[in-house]
Amino acid sequence: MPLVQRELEPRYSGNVGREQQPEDWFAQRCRRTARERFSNQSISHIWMGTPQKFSTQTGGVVRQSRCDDFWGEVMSLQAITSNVLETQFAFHANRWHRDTRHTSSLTRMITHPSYLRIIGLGPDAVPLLLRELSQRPDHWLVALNAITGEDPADENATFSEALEAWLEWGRRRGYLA
Amino acid sequence: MGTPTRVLGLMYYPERDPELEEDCPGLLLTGYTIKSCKDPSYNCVAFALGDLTHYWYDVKVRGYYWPPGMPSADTVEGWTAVFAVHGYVETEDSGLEPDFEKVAIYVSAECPEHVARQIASGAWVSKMGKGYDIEHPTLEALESMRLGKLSKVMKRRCSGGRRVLE
Repeated sequence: MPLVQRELEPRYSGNVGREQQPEDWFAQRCRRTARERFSNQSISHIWMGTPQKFSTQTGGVVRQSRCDDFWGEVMSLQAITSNVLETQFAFHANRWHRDTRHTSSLTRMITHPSYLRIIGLGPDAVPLLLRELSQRPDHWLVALNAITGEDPADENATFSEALEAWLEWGRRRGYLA
Repeated sequence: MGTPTRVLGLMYYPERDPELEEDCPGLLLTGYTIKSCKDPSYNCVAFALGDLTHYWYDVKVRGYYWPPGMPSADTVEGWTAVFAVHGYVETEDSGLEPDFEKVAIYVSAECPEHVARQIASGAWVSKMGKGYDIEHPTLEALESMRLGKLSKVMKRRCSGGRRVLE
């Protein structure tokens, strides 16, 4: 599967009726575009199969269509998607900062709903977490560990040493300049 | 207000922190002094024990420290045990005793939230979560929704007549 498709797919198969989030805005935009293109007023799911095949679901019926023009539009939407992810990340990071700024309890920090939402963003959030860590050091080590399964610091590292180990880990993998 | 500034090698810290006052309104009544930059690399437990390099919490991710064998950092027993290991015993008296240094633990809904340390003047100093170190004249000033209520005071004899970080 081409890379761009794999990156698009999770956000592109928007499900109607979920909580309104920036990702849903993207899904809505895709659905609206699909309705305009295919004159379909009740699309509940959309998938991108290949650049030439575009699937829509109406009720239980899945239809495939050629969509060369639509693919071009999706490509332009991809640029918006990264902004949507960043917007979502920034929203939750700022809310987490505000709500945990004077707590010492790491448990309270890492069980905060926004912290969990950021973990839920998955691997897409790793570059954003590392950039946040480099610009505004904070307790993102648990989130990075949860998403990547890595723990690059030495066993007895201080917080600052562990933070630097994560930044170096990110540089080695090309997440950070 | 503002951010910490270095002038001719001296650090100047902001006079007030609206976020801190919002979380601990009692500070508005008693006053307080900001004594450091914001720093997430150590917490109030570390600060109370004189360690400015570790974040004391028991989590299975590297970069955190909790003394081996101690009860969970999410329990009052855990915090009490850590201070007991460092020579502290519980006391009812939060007043100044020149030969003793004291710490005060704040608890909310059975969870430890904060610990403050007494300095030689009789005032208290606190590391406010990931934020500033502050000096505050009373323990009650920090009682709030965020930090809970004062629950325990512990003391130990000053080592060599000196208190930690003094």
